Formats: sequence, structure tokens, C-alpha cells
Amino acid sequence: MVLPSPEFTIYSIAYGSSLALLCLGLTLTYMTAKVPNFAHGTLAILGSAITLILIDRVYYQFKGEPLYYSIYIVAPLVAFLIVGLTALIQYLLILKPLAKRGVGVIGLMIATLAFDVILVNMLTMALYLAPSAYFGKLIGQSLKGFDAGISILGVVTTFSRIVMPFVAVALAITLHLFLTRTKFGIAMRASIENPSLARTLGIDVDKVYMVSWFLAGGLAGVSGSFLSFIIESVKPAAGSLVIVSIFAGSILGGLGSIYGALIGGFLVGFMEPMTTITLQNTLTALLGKAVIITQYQRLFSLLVVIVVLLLAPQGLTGLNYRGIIGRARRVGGVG
Amino acid sequence: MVEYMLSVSNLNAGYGKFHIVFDASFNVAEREILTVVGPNGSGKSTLLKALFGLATIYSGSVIFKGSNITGYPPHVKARIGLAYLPQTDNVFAELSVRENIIMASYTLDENEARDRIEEVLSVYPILKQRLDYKAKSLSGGERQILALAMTLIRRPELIMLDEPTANLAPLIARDLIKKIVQLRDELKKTVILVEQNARAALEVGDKALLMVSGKIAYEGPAGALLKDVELGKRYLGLR
Repeated sequence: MVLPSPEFTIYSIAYGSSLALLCLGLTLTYMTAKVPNFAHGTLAILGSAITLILIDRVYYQFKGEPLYYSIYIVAPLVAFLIVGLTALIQYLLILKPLAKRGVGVIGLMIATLAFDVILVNMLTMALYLAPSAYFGKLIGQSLKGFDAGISILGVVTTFSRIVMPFVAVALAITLHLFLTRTKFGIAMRASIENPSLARTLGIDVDKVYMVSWFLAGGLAGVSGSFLSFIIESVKPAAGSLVIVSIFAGSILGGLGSIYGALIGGFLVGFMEPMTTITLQNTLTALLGKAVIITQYQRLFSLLVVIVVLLLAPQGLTGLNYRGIIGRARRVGGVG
Repeated sequence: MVEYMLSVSNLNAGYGKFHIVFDASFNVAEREILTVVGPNGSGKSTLLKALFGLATIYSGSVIFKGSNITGYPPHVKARIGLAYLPQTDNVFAELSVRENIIMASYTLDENEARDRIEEVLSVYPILKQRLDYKAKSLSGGERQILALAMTLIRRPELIMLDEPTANLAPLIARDLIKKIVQLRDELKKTVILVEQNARAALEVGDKALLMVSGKIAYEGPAGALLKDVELGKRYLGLR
């Protein structure tokens, strides 16, 4: 077995962190609207596109200057707001009215697919038609060259890859504190668990749902903004590939717990590239000629979905750990 | 004319097309326990839900302290002094006892909330020891006490309880019934108590309704229904 390089491991950690945020958002909206949002991947790509436009319009001229580093704060912030609002609009204009008319889960799910198609096409049009100051054309541009380089302990990597995991951890802690220490945060958990009881207590459940959708979109925006430096190029259609991994991570996390989503998302995001590259390197070494399988990377996520649904449909958070440990002890003859 | 706490006349209610309660009329006086008994499926719970606005009222009227509240939505009824305690899912299982109580005081300002939480915890000291436990880890009896506490925080005048002792062990159920009497005697509340456990509920009730197939078959003193051998044997399983 040929293990991945430290550079690739850092890349995988960064990718896992961004996927953790995406799964967190998907799970949050799943818990409130009870519908899987197929547009969640494209929401992330919208965050990537916003970062691309910011660089094209403003930041390319600061490349190499200290001021350039502010892109790592400004772009995620702008993406947080715009993508958050987009998700809120998706909920208010499409899902909420449909749910009110009694449309079931399948209908709502198809509505999110329709919204995804609309979003992809609008984004494609915008990136085609918008005049570009630096790139000439915006569609399909790579931002890899715009990620500041950094070397840590002799490992050459990029700034976004180092920052992303910290951002993800910071956001997860902030969200945890919000949900457990503030009255509105507790009301969010209460409304998710039992909306009718929450309503009888005077909690504005609608407002709670709106905030969940805004937060979910916002987190997708932040994630997409950092991903824009990592992915090969900013293409609107890429969202429909990312969504596979987002579902895999969320299902692994159990779809009912935001903490499970964070863990599931990170595991899938980290393991997907790591497993693929390890397999590729090993096959190359075994066969003595270059084998390229990275384009099949998503197969890992699909396998996770199948295995989890077959063996532990409740995901990681639904597992009976005491039972498993007990069984392992009995099998191992310990205790 | 006596002003009643709650006056219901010719109430017809149900869910959508399912007409369940027929032509119900009765009154509840202040600081009284009205016990509602009857066989399974007789419409007791639907009656409560209709009074609180959770089931559809087709016709009839509900007068609370002199004002007509028939069509008010639940959250408005909660604000003007009615409380409804559902049989199940009446606490947030995943939230701690403390968080549940905070949610019950959601609409109050901070100082007011603090005072009322303090007040309710002194009525139910058992909850003080469980503040940081998740509600799902409480016993059935403790859970109902938490639900009662959450109801009391909003200082309702009329409390409607839907089978609070269902699924409780007999001793715990008896203890909970004592707490319901305490609502009337010490906290000066008016109570409508829907119960499966007819004898215990009739023993503490001032007035009683017997519901059979969605209609009120008896309205009068609770003690008299308890002594009525014929009705008791036929509908309530009492000897």
C-alpha cells in the first residue's frame, strides 16, 4: 500500500472540513423542512462563484500583497450572506408555500431538484455573460493560482487548506454555543424536535425555520468559498457532483443530528480522496504503469450511502455503541 | 346569572370530515375540577382539543370568562389564560429540564421569567434536582410533573389535562392526581381533567361529564356519577 503524501493529506483534511459544513447545513434543513435539499451542492458552488467574481473584480490586483490575504475573510463573509439569502428565498418562495398546500416529501424533493436546475442555469448564464476584468471569461476558471502558498514544517501547501479546518471548527463551536446557550438557539432545537408543542409555548416556529435555512445556506457559502481554491475549476454543474458526497456524509451522520453531520461529513470528505489516491498509488506500484482513477472518486461516497443504508440506516449517531462494545467484548472474550 | 370560567354550548367538533363531538354543552365554574370520563373513542380528547383550538369546531360556542373565544388559534388561547397538556409529547425529550422550563417561559421577559421559574420550582422541588438531565431520562411521573410545571409558568387560569396518568404506575398516578388537586386547592386553578382512570378522577372531581359516542351522557356532580351503579358498570368498568 502506498500512502498519500503529507501535501495530499492536508488537502483531504481541508476538503473534509468543507464537506462537514455542507453536511451540517443539509442536515439542518432536513430536520426543519423534512426534505433533502438537492440544491445544496449548487449553493456551495454559488459561494465559489462569488469568490471568483471578487478575485476577478477586486483582488487580482492585490496578488502578492499583504492586503490580498483579506480575501480569506471577505469572500467567505460575502458568500455567507448572499448564499444564506438564496437558501432563504428557496425556502420562502418554493418549499414553504408548497408544504402549506399539502405537497408531500417526494413533491418537495422534486421542487428542490427544480430549484437546483434553475440555479445551475442562472449561474452558468451569469458566469458566461458577466464581463470579466481579469480572466476574460469567468466560466470554468481555476482559482488554484490565486491561493496564497505557505510552507509548514517543510510541507508546501496553500493558505486556504490550512485555514479551512480552523474555520470549520470555529463555526461548529459557534453554532453549538448558539444552540445551547441562547434562548433562540434552544427554541430552534425545541422547534425541530416538536413543532406543535413549540407553537403552543408561543415560539415562532416559522422564524426558527427561516433562520435554519439562512444558516444552512450561509455555511454552504463559506464552504464553497474555500472550496473554490481547492477544486479544479469553478463550474456551476459541479454542485451536482458535490451533492453526492454531501448526502453520503449526512446519511453517515444519521440525518437527525448536526453533530453527526459534522463527523459524517468530515469522514466522507477526508476518506474519499485519501482512499482513492491510496488505491491509485498502490495499483500503479503493483501494475508498474500509471493508473488514474481519481475521476471515479465519487464512487466512494456512493458506496458509503449503500453500506450505511444497508447496515446502519440510523447512521453513526443512531448506533447502539454500548451494544456494539458489549458484543465486541463477548466475541473477543474480554470481561 | 352566574359567570362561569368556561361555558360551552352546542359544540360540534372533529377533524376535517370526521365529526366526533356532537352538541356538547356544559359549564365549568372557577376553581373547580371538571372530570371528563367515558369509554375509549368516546371523544374526550377531541373535546379538549377542540376547546384549545387544535381540532375543528363546526358549530357552537366557547365562552371563556365572558368572552367568545370559539375561533381563536391555540397560541392566542395560551396567551389569554388557557393551557392544554397533551397526553404524550408534552415535553421536549432531547432538551434538558432547565431548557424545557426556559422554553415554557419563552414569551416572558427575563426578570418575569426568572421569578416564575423560581416559583414553579418551589411547587415542584423534584425538578430542581433534575435541572441538567435530559427530559427523556426522567421517569414517566417526573415527565408529567415537568409538563405541569411548564404549563404553570404561563400562569394559566384554566388547565386542560389529557389523560395525565396514562402509562404511569398506580402509586405514581395517585401522586400525580394529588398534584392536580393541589392545582385547584393551593394554586387556585380551574381544571378540566380527561381521565381513563375513572374512579381516581371522579373522586377528586367537583363535576363530571360522561361521554359516550361523542355525546354527553351525564353532566352533574362527580360523586353522584361515582355512585351511579348502572352508568358506572356500563361505561366505566366500575363495580
